[in-house]
Amino acid sequence: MYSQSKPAVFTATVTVIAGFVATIAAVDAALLRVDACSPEICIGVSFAAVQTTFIAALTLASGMAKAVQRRRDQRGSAAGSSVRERLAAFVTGESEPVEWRNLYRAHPRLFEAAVLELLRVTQGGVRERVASAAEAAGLVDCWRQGASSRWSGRRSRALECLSCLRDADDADLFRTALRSPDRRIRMQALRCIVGLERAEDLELAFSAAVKEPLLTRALISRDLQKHSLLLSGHAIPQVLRHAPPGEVVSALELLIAWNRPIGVDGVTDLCRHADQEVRVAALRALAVVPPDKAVHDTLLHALSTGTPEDRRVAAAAAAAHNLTDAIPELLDNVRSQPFPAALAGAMALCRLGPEARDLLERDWARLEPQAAAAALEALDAFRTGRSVRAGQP
Amino acid sequence: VSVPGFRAVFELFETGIIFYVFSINAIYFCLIVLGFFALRRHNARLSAEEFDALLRSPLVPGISVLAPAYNEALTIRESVRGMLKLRYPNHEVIVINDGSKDDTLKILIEEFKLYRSGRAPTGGIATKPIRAIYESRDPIGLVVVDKVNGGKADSLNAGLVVARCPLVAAVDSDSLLEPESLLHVVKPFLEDDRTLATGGIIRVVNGCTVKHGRVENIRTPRSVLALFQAVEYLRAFLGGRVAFSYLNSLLLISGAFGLFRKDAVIEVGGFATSTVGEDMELVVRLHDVWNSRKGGYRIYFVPEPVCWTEVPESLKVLHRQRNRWQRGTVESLSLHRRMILNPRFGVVGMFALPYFLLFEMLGPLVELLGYVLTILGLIFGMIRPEIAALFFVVSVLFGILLSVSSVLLEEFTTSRYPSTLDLLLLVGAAIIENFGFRQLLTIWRAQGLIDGLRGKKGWGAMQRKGFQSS
Repeated sequence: MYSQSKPAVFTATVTVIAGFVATIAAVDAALLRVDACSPEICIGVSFAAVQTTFIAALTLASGMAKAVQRRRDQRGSAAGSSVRERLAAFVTGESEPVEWRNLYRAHPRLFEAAVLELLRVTQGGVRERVASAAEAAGLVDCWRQGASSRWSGRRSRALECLSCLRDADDADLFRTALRSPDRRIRMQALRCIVGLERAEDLELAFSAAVKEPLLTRALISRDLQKHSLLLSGHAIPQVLRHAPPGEVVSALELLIAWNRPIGVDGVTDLCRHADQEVRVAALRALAVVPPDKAVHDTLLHALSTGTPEDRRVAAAAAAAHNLTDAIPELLDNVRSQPFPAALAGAMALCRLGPEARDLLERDWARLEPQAAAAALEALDAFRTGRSVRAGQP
Repeated sequence: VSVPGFRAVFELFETGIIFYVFSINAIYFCLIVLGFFALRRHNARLSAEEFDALLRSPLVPGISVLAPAYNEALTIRESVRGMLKLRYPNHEVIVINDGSKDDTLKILIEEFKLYRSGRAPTGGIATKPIRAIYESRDPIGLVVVDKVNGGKADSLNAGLVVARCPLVAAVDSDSLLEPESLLHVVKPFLEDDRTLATGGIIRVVNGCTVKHGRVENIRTPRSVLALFQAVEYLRAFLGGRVAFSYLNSLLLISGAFGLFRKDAVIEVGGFATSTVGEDMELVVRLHDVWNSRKGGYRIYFVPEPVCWTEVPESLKVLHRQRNRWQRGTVESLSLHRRMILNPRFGVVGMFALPYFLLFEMLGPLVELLGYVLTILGLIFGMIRPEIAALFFVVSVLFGILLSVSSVLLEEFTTSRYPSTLDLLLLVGAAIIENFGFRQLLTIWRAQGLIDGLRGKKGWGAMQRKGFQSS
């Protein structure tokens, strides 16, 4: 969160404190030079004077900033609707082009906000007209300049705006931004690249997304979901086969998040991976892949021989596939330790239909206390229609 | 010893105290400046579009919100409603009724249509006996654990063993959470998989208007005592904690709102029931246990307002609260004394813990001594007026600088108070609190230090007024 900005923050802190101390020292020296008072009083007076100036200046600045902001909001609400109306009239063909550059100069923020709003909600020819207005106003050039800015806030914002434009000419700009050390910039660059909707760029975006932290993946997953079928052909199997474990887990998590029955080669093989995290993610992903014999065999194997965590996720996947063949293994899981695995087994049985539920209902009174508690909780959750979270991802 | 000799020793002692008080305030000022620049660079806020994407994402981990309640009949309805309405894709609210003597449980059962459910504690941490677990007949994620009274830490442990999500948020049931609070505090967990715990800014709800469990109209408190505390909260959260978090040496995540990785908390043994400062103790213990782990760990402070709490408006209750907080600090530091000045613990051992020991724990006693000696010295002519003036500068004027800087830091960053009048009121309070209120707190904290060293236990009751509804 903070690591990239540490030197800059430390430098700024030291500069301000040094400036503050130097100012006090200068005032103190001046007072001593004119022999105004004793050294102790001089230092006290210097401190009080500098501090009072500091506080007064900052209070005044924040008070003025508040007043300016209020005034800007008042003006904005009046002018904003006029800017939006003129833009809307143009894009719907009700009026001819106006002098966009002048309008942009008069109301830069409002014009930009209106253009972005329209770019986000329109398609096809209408969208192109909005883009042409933005281009004519000089707004797009401004975004392109911003996308190469050294200031990360400005760069990230510019990329966010360009992602609404979806112009293939900017592809190189986006690819360069993918190499930025700033997570926000990389995230915006990913969105821009996905927005271009070109096969080679989408594969690049997927392989870059799996290297990103969970936050970026969570934000980008829906954008990538639209292209899941295309990605399942080459990009996903490539990552699953050759990437390091962390990236494999990320790729599997994206598959789970999409929740689409896409056949991807190599998921079942990963359920026997030596790395526990990869194994668990692959077993979770099995819940969303199309069912076949290999998937069923893998789930039965995990339920009978896996670690407690393997069994817990395999139970949920077995229920998702309505795998009634797994009832004996699931019953064994209910009797097993630890509690989350037992609870997941019981939950799966409840979801597998009346026969499995009856078995659980009949058995629970004879079970060990912990297994009985898991069975009771699952039956209760099923009856009341509540989803019990038997240990989330 | 001759009178001039005694006077010289006295003045030397006084100078030592002045140097000490100056050091506390100077370090704090440095932390505030560091916090300011860290906040400016942080850019933590998610856009509205990103918020929506996270709200729809199945990748966001589930959170169990743990809210211990003891005699909270006055505010429990609003608080639980607020917690249920939090904007988060996957959360459950677990209210732990810690053997309340009032109608807390009855209100919850009637208001939220609770029934005795089959949910079972998973074990792993010993707690006082759980009498029953209730869930709602309505499709809401509410669980109520009814247990034998055992204190706040014991209640949180009971919540931990009933929780079903990988992250747990420990909150006060008398607090109101911001609708997006969970999304704010979960962000470090999503950005950095080494994150163990996060906390956010706690704000003072007194003076604000509350509707259906949400703070609607944000105003500064009308009561002077609460106004001073509003300034104090800003100073504590925006100044110190941002900077400590920046240095990965945050020692305190407020008990009013903190988010933790459940497995990490269970692994270190849960919340300590032997201390009244269970919030600080847990964070220090997490540093202790996780310090030697490969790959490192992070404990973050999120500079976003996440929670609103009602502060005491009576001196008696405030006295009790501050005494307890000080005892909590003493207990936490004494339990983990082997970490202090231990280079193995890095910045935590070499800076944060010594800072807390020297300035947060012992500070009030030394400052109090300074006031007494200055007054006595002036009365008996043992110190020069110039030295007394210098003490006034380092304690009171520096205090004003710190308080006003914190208020302005709030204004430049989160800026939650909408009107200029509120800003002026806060600046005014930041100046006036240094003439009387701060000295009163110093006396109470010094008392708390002595009570803590003597091993005094006990929580003390908080009298609630209830939220001001619109």
